[in-house]
Amino acid sequence: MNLRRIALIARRDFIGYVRTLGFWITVLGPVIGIILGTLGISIANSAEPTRYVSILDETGRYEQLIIEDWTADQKAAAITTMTPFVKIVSTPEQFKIFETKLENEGVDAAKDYFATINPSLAERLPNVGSSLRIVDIDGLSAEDINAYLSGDIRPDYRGEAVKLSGIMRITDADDGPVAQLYSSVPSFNGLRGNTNDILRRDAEDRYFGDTGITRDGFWATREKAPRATTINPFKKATPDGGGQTVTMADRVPYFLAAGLSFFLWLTVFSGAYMLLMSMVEEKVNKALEMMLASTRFTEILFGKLLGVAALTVASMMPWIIMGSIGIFVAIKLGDPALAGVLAGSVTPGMIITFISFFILGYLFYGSLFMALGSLAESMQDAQTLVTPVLLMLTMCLFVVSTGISNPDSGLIKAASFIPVSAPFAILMRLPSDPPLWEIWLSAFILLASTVLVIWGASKLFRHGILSGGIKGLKTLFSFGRIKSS
Amino acid sequence: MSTPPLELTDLTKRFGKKTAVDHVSMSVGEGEIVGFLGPNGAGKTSTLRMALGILPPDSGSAKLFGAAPGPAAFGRVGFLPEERGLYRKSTARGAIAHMARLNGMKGKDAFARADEMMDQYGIGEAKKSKVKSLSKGMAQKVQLIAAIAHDPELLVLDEPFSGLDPVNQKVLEDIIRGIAARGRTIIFSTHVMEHAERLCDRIVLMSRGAKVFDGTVEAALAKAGVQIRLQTPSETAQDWLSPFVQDVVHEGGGVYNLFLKPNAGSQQVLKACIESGAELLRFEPRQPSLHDAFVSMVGEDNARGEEVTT
Repeated sequence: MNLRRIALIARRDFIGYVRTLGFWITVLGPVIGIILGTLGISIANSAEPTRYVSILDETGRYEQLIIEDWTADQKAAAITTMTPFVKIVSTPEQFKIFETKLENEGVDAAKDYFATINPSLAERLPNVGSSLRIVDIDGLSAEDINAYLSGDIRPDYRGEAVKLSGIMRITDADDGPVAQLYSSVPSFNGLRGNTNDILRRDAEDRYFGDTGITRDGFWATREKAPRATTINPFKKATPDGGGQTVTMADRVPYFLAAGLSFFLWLTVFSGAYMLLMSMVEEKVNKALEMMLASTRFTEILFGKLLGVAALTVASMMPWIIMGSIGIFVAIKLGDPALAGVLAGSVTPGMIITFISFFILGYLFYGSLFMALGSLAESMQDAQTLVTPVLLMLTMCLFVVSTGISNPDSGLIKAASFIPVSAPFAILMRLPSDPPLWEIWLSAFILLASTVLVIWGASKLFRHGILSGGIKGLKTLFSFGRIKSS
Repeated sequence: MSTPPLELTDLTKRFGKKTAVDHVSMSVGEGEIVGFLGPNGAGKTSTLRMALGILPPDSGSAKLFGAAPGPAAFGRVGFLPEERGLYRKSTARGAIAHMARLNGMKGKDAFARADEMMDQYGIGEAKKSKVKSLSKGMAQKVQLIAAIAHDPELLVLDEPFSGLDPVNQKVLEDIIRGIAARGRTIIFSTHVMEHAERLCDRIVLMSRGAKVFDGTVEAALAKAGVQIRLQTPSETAQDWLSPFVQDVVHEGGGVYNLFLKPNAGSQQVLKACIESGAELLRFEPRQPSLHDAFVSMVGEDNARGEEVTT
């Protein structure tokens, strides 16, 4: 085989597709999706009008509690949305100060501090402010409710006369307090969530009554209740007697294996599909026959496989980058031990196995799809031909999902010796340290099958591009009668 | 004696029960222009594909420059297939350069050659146009240039004239003559005999997968015999004409189309006419065409051809 011709064919396929709009839509799709999603949420938030609500607490017991609950929610929202962002872009010392300010002095003080250490990024801090404002009205009575809601009476909020969207009225009844939100806006929820929280707590307090049980004590007891743990006796014990407890960190390698396995599946799926489409397009173009006078069949086959592999990796690049960012963020924000576990999971053995099975899996499925594509004369033909292979590939997804919970199951073990599922199954088995000979056997079976498929594919490919349509399917059953070049 | 660029020995190809190519042997010498003629389905395309190693023969062998088709001949052969096609989204010069590079040219040289040849063949303005935007004639020129850009020693053209209007057919004939003038070897298939008559040193006639003639155009024409269009009111015309003709068509009104026997000449017919005393209103001897020669060799039915699925 001539490597220069293979490279030329690969290059043409790569550049030919990279120059199309479809490729860039595929590549930038996830990025555009994220930008549009973020923009959409931002626009939706900024478009949400500021609404004003007031509390008419005729019992005199709940108003302050509701306001405090609402303020606490605001703070929690600030922590959830602002904290990860600040943590990623700040030093650990700066973040500690930020956290202290947020805890003790509130959201605005924390934001002000961040502006002093990072003025440019401070402007991009996620906006956590709620569009709800609580208006305190002296002497508010039930008779005035309609006048306030209609806007006839406009209370003052920080020097501005505003129209109320709702009034939360709380009264006492025989069997406890009653809360009613008065509003002419059906979708307005006002302070319903916070009010319900406070009334629930109040109901719990009344239930416990004089038993001596406090609500906080009850919930603290529940939190402290002992839980069953999993012990792995083969795990190295630490001097304090712990270390053998199975934690979330122990499951990280399995999730990593599942992630790699799924990535391989996605690559094979999209790459193989690209090969199929490329073959059908070239069949329609009738360009291949001309090339055959100056190129071997196998060179065209490998050139296309290589070109589409490069294309697939290029089109997966946003996912690779986003995945890398995700892992970085997880390490930065999560448990510091996570970084160690992740680093420990990615062993040279795993990398070599992943790359080997990735290449073999791609070649196996890629050749299969190319051969079928060369038999098809239209996309309809192609869809008919590849349906069984797609079903087979979809079945392999079950291998990934089963492998997360049962990496040692008989199904996964058997799947690692079946060529169609071996690339996915073997990756799922890696965290549970399967015997080396099983990995070698799996690799050998896959390699032998791949060689067989490439051989068969080159025969089908050769026949397919010179003949027409699905009628060439007869060729599937007469490999021996097609001579090789 | 130098090795012929193309040599076929006893090539046979069957598709199912159909014999597409039946024991065909031929040789194309260096610098020759050979016309490969026959109706649709005669086995021309299959033969050319086997000659290039694209299609494996069931029996027999093909040799390019003395060796089996394959890498040794890559870069020395240019091929224009019957079913035209180029990468639709590629630019015209890109498509030409790609083929030239596959045939061994370096990138820069390939693009320079593409530009030069497009200018030479009058489609310089389409260099950066996408193939899909070209007219059919232009696209065919681009594909022909892609086949010859690397200046191959042997050029194989499968039905190069099909789909072209008369003006572009003439342009293509000139291109082929130009390539031949540089001493290159050309074999082209066609079912339009006139092109072969004008261009070829030698012709090979195919019918139903078999070779029925291999020789010069003159030798082929000699097989056709002379034709005469004659008009006479004589009611006994068929009697005194019968010794000289192998076939006669009476059009009515005393007009006869005569196909003379190979050993008969127009002078003998004229003499018989005078001796019979018949009044002669028209006497037009006509030189046979290659088509006539082909019909005389294979018969009218076979000359119409038969589609062979390949």
